[in-house]
Amino acid sequence: MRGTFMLLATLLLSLPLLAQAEPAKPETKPADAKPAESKPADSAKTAVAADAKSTAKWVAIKGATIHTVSGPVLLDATILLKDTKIADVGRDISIPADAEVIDGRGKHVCPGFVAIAAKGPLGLRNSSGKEKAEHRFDPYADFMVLALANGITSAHESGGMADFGGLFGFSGSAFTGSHTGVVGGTVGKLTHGTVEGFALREPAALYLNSPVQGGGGAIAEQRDLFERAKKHRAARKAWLKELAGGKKDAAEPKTDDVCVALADAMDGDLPVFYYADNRRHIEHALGLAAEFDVPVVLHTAQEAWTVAAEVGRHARGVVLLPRGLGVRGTRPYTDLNVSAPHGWRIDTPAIMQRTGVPWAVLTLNTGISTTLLGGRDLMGLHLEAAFAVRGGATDAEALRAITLTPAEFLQVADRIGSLEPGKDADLLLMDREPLDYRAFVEKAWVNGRVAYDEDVTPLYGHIQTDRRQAPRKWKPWGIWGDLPDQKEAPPLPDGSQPPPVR
Amino acid sequence: MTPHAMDSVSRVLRLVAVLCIGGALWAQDPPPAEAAAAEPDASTTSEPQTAWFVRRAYTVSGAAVDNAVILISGDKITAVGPESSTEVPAAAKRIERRSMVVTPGFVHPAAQFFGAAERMDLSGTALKGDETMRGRLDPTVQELRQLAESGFTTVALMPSGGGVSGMISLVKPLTPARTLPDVGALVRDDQAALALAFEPGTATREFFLKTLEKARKYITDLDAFKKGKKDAPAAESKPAEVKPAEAKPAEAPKEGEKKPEEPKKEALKEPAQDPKLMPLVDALNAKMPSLLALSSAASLLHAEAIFAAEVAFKPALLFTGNPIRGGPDMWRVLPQLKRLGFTVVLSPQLSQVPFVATRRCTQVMLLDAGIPLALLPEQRSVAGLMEFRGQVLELIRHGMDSADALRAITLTPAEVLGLGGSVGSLAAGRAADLLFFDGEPFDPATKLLHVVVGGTEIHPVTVEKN
Repeated sequence: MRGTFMLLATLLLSLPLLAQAEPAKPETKPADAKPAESKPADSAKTAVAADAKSTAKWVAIKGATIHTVSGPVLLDATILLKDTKIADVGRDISIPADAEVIDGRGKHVCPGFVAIAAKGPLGLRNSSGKEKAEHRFDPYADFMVLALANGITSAHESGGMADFGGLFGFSGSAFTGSHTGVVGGTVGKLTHGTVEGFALREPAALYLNSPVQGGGGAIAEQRDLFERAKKHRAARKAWLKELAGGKKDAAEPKTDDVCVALADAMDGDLPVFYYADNRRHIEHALGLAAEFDVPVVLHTAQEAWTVAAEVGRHARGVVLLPRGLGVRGTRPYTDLNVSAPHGWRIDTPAIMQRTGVPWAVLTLNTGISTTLLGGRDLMGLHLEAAFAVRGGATDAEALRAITLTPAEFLQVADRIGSLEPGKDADLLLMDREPLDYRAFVEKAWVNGRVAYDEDVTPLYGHIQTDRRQAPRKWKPWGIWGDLPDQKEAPPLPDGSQPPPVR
Repeated sequence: MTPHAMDSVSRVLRLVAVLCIGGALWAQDPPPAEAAAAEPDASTTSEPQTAWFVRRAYTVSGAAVDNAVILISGDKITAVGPESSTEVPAAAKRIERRSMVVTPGFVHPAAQFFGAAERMDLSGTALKGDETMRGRLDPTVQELRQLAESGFTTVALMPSGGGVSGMISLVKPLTPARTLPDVGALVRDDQAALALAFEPGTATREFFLKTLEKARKYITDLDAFKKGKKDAPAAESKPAEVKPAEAKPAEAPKEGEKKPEEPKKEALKEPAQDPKLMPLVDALNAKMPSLLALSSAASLLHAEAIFAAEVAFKPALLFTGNPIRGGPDMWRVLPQLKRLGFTVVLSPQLSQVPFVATRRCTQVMLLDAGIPLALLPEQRSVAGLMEFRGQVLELIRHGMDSADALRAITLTPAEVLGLGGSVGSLAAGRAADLLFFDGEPFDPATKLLHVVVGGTEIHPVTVEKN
């Protein structure tokens, strides 16, 4: 009895203490994480601190399934954005009081997709390749909106048709460069509605094509390029050493742009895409890559599975079309005069994954084609990646193949491609798993700014893929949704909720 | 007989006429009853007044006046008001047009008539700030007639080309005679405003950044120089010599003043003036009106990033977007335009995006957002001038207030050219540029009956009869 009393007394005494301790907890926790933001408003006398508080824009997406890509998939987690960057990702993170909180329960968050070797989404229509993309792109381009609606937040473009001989219209399957090399292209962001924060990398890469088809002359020509680049690289090293040694009048070694670019690539400063789709071309490319130690990315390497181990040993990775190259590429014997096998396998990406070769996804039509929803163009980039899963690749690897892996190939992975603190806030809020064929993008952030909002731009907003739910309201079709007169959805005639579809 | 055949004869006649009547009216017999304003003795102190009685006068700057009388002396309006309360001098010549409605003459803010340009070209990087168009103009009788018949009484001729394109010339149409008028008589001001044109790109961006830097350097150097001048006389007590230099800083520095100064003060030389740059300097200091031609909303975003530091620079924005490509798409940048507060100059054409059933009335959206709007006729269409009023009517049908529409083709374009105090409205002291309609100006059946420029009737053409 006495013991019970003591216990009660202890409890009673400790209650106020607990009550005091309870509210103190959330106060101290954010103070540890973000000391500047959690300060009370009485510090208004310090104008600078007040300014810093009001200018920093925080956005938190709470309770979502977060596909970080670089790390695990986090269930019921929160991602916190600060201005243009990701501030924090995790299950137990503190949210500043002035943050805009978005309910992500039942939804999925993943990095924005990166379209490698694309054409169109950056709004570079009718522009010359000599001008920098960031100074001339159209942030209101229709293709940019369509690509954003399908999850693409960054793209790699050739930067003008003149740059790449093999490319025509929107039907080019890849930019194939030339055997003597082409430097150019741009990697940029789909900053719909603003010109800020566009540039990621320009020129984007060096593009080489296999000389094997061209015969001995072409092979020798390309070899000569590699040798000149090697020499130039050595000369440049010597020159830099001289400069560092105090010899200021040392002459800089000079050569052509492609040679400099290849030397840069040997230094690891510039990506190299080597177009090689069949085994002979791949083997030739790997030979050069091994001999000259160039980290090439094999482009459209659909027969890479035949030499997977060698590819893994000598190339940086491959860019693939999981669904193959189309009619001629994927189905044998459509042309009876051509007896060559096509070399495509549904499990090429899976084989690459098992061998440890990084692979990125390319669409057959590298532009935006409005023929059908989910066609083999950029509007179906995530569907193309999902096809690799059908061939045996894992979901995580397939998602990586349209986010972090292309970012790594393009050497912009320090900024985009995964959800990590410090990286750019380029991410998607999706209604389902990113690679689900029913998944749609609800919101896309680029540099922390909402570049696409399904509610504002009603492209697919009316589509209801969940039959358990009521159909969504139809809105006038058009990608010009960011209009004042379209923001308000037209009310239903009777004002009632429509009955569920059976 | 073609106008060209008459040309040599007319040159002689013209010279005589210009000498005789001071260039105001050389080839026109005064119409019998009405246009008595331009007498040879118009410049004398006791100018004869005319009183024009109309059913309604849209003053634009103020409310519409019913049963109005407009008093005109010389080429200026001296009074506008209701007939009941406006005192009409007994000596004034009375012109009765009581069935008609009068508006100010239309103002064209950026025309390319008279061979000013083939088309509006925004590409390129030229610094031609001091280039005027007087020598290049090649007026035709046809254009003069179109201008007179369509009601444009003030026309700004805009040079074409990217960069700092050159000076905008101001033209007042004369009576369309059989023979061509002298360019000198047409052009009232060949440095009315500065034209700029921008197309996004690395080269144009670098050009503008470099040019702006030069202009900015001149302005800061000049400020430093002026400050140095102000400080110097205090030490040397020479205020009498310095004051005029302060008032006119753009003039050459006085060498005599500088020599006795200390060596470090000698560094404060007046910055050299680049004549190609000076109009831009004036525009950046808001001392000269300017017009920046852009193709689309995207161009505005790129231009905004370049001109961000120039806070005093307030050009009117001429959007030349191709309606087939979805332009003019200014509705995309309403918040930016609202923040900038610049006047937007647009064609009255509606936005027609192909393959999509969306039709936007950008012009109405701009006005609804409180952005000043000036309308200009289609440049490339031959019928642009003649259809202009009909196109504005279409905007009214799409929700534009007719008073706003009238302002957008009179006073707002006048303000764009810095002429808000002289043309574009009916008030005392403004130019006597009047249009007489037989009904409401934006009624589809209304005809434009008479056009008066500077108190002189130029339409209908009466000289042809003689």
